[in-house]
Amino acid sequence: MIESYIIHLVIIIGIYIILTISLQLSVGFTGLFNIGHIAFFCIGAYATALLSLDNYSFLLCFLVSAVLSMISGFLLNFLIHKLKGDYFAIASLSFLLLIYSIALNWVSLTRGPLGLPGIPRPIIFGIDFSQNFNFLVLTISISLFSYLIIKKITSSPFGRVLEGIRDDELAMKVLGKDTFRVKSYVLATSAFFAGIAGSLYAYYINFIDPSSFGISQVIPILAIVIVGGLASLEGTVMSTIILILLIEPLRYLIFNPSIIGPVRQIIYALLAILILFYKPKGLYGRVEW
Amino acid sequence: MEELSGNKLLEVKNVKKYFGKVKAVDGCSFKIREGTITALVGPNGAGKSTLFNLILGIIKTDEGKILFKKRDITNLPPEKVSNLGVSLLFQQPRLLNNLTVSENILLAFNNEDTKFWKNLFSFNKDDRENLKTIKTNLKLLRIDNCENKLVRDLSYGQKRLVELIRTIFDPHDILLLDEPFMGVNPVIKNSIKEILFKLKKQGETILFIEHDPDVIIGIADEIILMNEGRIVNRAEPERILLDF
Repeated sequence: MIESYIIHLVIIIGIYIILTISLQLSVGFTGLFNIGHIAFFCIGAYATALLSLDNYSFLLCFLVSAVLSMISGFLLNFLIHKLKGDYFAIASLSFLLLIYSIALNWVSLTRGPLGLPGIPRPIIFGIDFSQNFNFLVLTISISLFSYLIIKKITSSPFGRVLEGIRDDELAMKVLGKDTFRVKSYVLATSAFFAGIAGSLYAYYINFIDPSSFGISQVIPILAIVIVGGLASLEGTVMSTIILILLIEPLRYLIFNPSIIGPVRQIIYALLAILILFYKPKGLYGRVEW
Repeated sequence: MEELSGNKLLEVKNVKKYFGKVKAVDGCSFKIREGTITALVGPNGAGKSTLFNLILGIIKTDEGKILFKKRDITNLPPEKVSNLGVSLLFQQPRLLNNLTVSENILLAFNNEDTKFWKNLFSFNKDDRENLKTIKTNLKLLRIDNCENKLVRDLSYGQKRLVELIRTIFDPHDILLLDEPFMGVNPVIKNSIKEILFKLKKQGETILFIEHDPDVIIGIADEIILMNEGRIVNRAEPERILLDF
């Protein structure tokens, strides 16, 4: 019993690590305050749900989810790349609201608020991932792959340009850097990995509905990025683990399940505010907010 | 004044920029020839920095044309102007405080660092070569041992030097330097002078904004005097500064 609960927690942590390090790539490294990151998670989850319910293979569902999210990231940057700071944040939030509305209102495709139940777990090369332990191995492998790729991007000269754009985009332009192209790659990559996280989430939970991808879901991932520290992948991984485990006991302390969700939001928001006030660099960040 | 010899590199033709009723640049025209060092002088608010921003495409011109190497660069985005060979030192330091000195300078070498796939699958060989060059140059300027320091930990003068080095390493045919000596102590001022003399010997083309006559007389081949957004005189340094 405890073993399966631990496996469940590690799977959730693994999925969230992919989601938060991909957000860190755009927010912490590039300074693109993308509040709409959950939209890419949503696109990935719905793509996987719809395709896997039609019995398409894992590889196809997984790749289509990632690529669809990636294209959305590219398009989002194309539409709002001239906006900076708060304006960029608001525009990205609008993008999330748009995707959320589609998930909620395109009933013939998504079944709207009823959601999509019965998403089958994948079978890859004969290995049945309906076993949670197998799914844990899959999640950890994909999380590790995502971490290594994003680490390689951020520690390469390309990563230096990202930090340059975050700190002074005009200075980068004057040095001849095509910042539009760089930001396109960043948002597309960030969305690609969020799509992967969404795909894993849909496979794992077996059911998705729009409520998993609303504005309220933005708070936890932003809080994790803030607590971990800007431009720190290690910090993001640590804070994902700490915050998910910290919030988990609420399940046992609060007996009314309907208020667990709001209490979680409050705790995440409070933690983020406290960190911003007293430790603006977060746990391991190099840069202040 | 007789025009200096050499090929025309930069030509500003009747450029205008108004901010509401303020005529920041009001019909400026001049040519900069290859291998010459020109000082742009004038009182505060004369439109000198605005002119630099117009050349780089940081702000858009209202009228007029800017030609660089006979190509129309009017209102091109800054990255395109930079890649054609115009390198700018801003008036206010614009180094990246969260990066080290080396990382800041490395950004200037080329644009290979913006190639996503190349960076994803390669092992930064270019960096190692460039780092050696940076180390040597910092040593020559007597600010060695600071290449791994964060820029935010440097003094103002050191930042100015590092930014000047970054501007020089940015591949260019002309350097636009906006008050390179502003706010630095005499030691750093000498270092910057040394750099400019060296660049002059190498035959570089430089257009710089400066107020200090001592610096201008030693370095500049000619002076362009601006006031209220217009070019009011153009001559050899000694002649203009005597009248100024």
